[in-house]
Amino acid sequence: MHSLDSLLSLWEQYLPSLLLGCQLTLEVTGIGVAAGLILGVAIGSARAADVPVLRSLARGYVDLLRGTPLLVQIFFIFFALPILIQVNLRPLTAGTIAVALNAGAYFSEVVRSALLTIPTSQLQASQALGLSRLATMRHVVGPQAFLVALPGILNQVTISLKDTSLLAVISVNELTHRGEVIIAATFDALQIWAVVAILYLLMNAALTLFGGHLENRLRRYTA
Amino acid sequence: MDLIVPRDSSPNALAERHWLMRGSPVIAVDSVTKRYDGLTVLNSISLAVHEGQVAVLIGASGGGKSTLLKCINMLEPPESGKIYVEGADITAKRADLRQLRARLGIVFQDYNLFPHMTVLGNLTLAPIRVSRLSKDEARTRAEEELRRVGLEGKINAWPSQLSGGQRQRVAIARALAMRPTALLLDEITSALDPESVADVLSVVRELAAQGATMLIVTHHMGFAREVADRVMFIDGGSILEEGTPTEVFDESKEERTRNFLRRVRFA
Repeated sequence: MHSLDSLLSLWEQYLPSLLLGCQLTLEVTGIGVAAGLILGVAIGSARAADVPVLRSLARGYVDLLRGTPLLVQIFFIFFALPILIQVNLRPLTAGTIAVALNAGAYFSEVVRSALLTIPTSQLQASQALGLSRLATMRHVVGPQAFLVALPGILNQVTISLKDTSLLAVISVNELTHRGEVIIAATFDALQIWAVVAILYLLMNAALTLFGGHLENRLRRYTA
Repeated sequence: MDLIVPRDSSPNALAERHWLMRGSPVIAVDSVTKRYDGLTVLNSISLAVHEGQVAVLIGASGGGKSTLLKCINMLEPPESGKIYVEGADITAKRADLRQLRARLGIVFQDYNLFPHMTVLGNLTLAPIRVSRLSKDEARTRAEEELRRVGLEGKINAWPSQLSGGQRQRVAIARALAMRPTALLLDEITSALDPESVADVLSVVRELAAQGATMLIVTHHMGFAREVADRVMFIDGGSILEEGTPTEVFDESKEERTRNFLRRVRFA
């Protein structure tokens, strides 16, 4: 067991490094989730669209990305893609792309099911007023679907944040990887893994808190 | 052409209106057929609504009345037949649907207000996006139409804060804010409690008195008799009998019309 002194000195020594890891974790999550959301909206809309070709393509994408492990996707983009096409990606880039592609597949399902909850009568009311399909999407269906999708989106954001820990396997210096490196030097698995876990927990707690707040604000008047 | 044209009921004016009716109608439906999964809902139906006229469609539920209204602004495209709005063929492949739809105001049974917008947002969305009014112009117009339906105090309310009758009056104001040439009213009181029904009908009565061109689907026969210039009885997907309220309600020639009227009177 550690004395309180040695515990504090351990924290003092390694916390700054772990916090830097948190920063990178948040950056990868932020970029991955933002790109994933754009992808998800595009693919989810395609899946709800009336064009059979688009629907099948979108369906294929979702099946492929949901049906394979993220870890394999990371390995594929980092190790296999350079063989297939002559591009060498930095680990951080490859990892972020994998997180984005993966989150995009799940987001698209959230978007699709949210779109399905908006009654046709809303579309009809909008088109009857002379609004185009695009304007109807933007002003009538989109905002309502977003509110429905929000809990699902937040759920996937917390999952993606944890998923970034898999980037440790290609040596991206995010939180989990930094934990591993410190343990390799100190052999203090218990202390460090506990701190790493708590840091993930805190990041997600902040996210959940923010998400709940956002949801309450948006939901204030709509029935 | 504007929705509200001054109406004068002096004999002279009536004669003039009669002459107008021989001109091109605001809405003309020519042999329209609509099927759902092999079931013929509208069977080669034809009718015309002229400027300043209030036409009321009556008939049993599932008789195709609501479908007809949705065909008229192409929310439900018909299988065959033609529909003209102010002389323009809205069923044509190259028809400017958006522009023609904006000429027709439709009010639905379930209001279909946009729940994520305030009353102001509901009333200004299409005037800003479709008619390209400025925000200020659209607001002025919204205030005007809310006054017409007696809800000027509710401009900043959310739909969820309004009663059914208030929501339906907002829906009417939303349609009017586009300054349509004709209004299509699709059983607009069916989802309301009796008190709200009276409020909504009085708005429609007022519009009729001001000379609005309207095609109304309703189950209130007393109301139909009161506001209608023309009553059309739909049966089996086509118009079985039509005429003035007196002709249809008191002197109906068809046995099926009389049966229907007897049933709804005792309902």
